[in-house]
Amino acid sequence: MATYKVLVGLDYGKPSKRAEEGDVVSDLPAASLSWLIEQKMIELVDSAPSKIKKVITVEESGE
Amino acid sequence: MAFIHGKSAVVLQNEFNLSAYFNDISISRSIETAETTAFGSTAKSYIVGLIDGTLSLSGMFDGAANAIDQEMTDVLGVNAGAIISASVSGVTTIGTRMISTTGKLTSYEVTAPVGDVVSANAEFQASDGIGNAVSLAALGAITATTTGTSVDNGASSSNGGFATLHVTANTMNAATVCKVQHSADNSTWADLQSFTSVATTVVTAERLKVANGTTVNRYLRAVATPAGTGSFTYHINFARQ
Repeated sequence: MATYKVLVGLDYGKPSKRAEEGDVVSDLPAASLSWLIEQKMIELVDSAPSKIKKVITVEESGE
Repeated sequence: MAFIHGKSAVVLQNEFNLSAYFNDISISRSIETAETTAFGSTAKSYIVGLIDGTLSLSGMFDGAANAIDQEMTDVLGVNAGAIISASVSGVTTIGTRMISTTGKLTSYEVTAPVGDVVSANAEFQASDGIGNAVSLAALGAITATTTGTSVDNGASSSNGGFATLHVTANTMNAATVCKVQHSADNSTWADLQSFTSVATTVVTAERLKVANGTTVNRYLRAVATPAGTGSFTYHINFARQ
């Protein structure tokens, strides 16, 4: 889930939540993101991490 | 169409509701024009310049403390002027059209005729024009955090505006914070302007400018958050530019 730094105090969600300037949040309503970003009220901190398949190889010694 | 009677007009000046002293209010807005007529024209042409405004208030003299005479003489010669909001419709309910301005008192006249009531007349020169405001919080008392219903302007505006707060009575035993918020979707709300925290029992008024060029979103609302117990009587309006 993407996280955003709040640049202006915001009230959002139901029940209403409060985010102050400087807070980092990840639960802003998706429908509000575009205008909040456009008006520089929030900025993206971290986009949703992509799924990386981790492969572990174990080498067997010949002894 | 709904015509209105002027009998219930409301006049707030700084932290005082002076409606009971006035019986006439006159609001005048104007804009200067500069002539751009050139040779070859068949008619004069103009471009508009700066907006201006004046406010006239007439009523009945009262020399008591915090009454009309004291409040007018208190702002006479004061460069900061008086913060004035008025509703000619007589109500300040959320969404009501109002005017707001910072008025410099240019004349204050008291007349005592032998056969009539002593009258008082005041003339104000608006500084930064007369704002075409909308009420975001009706003049009234609250005892707990109050979020006003939103006012839909139909569209955003892009040239800032003025947020005005009048606190006419306050028995709160802690500070109260008032602010104006705006929203593009009537769902998520951003702080647009926060007034100076109103300390316990203080009555006050404040008019804050939102800078020219600032986007003011389609929806507006007011939030008042008292931290203590008691009663807080206030009004908030916002004038887009």
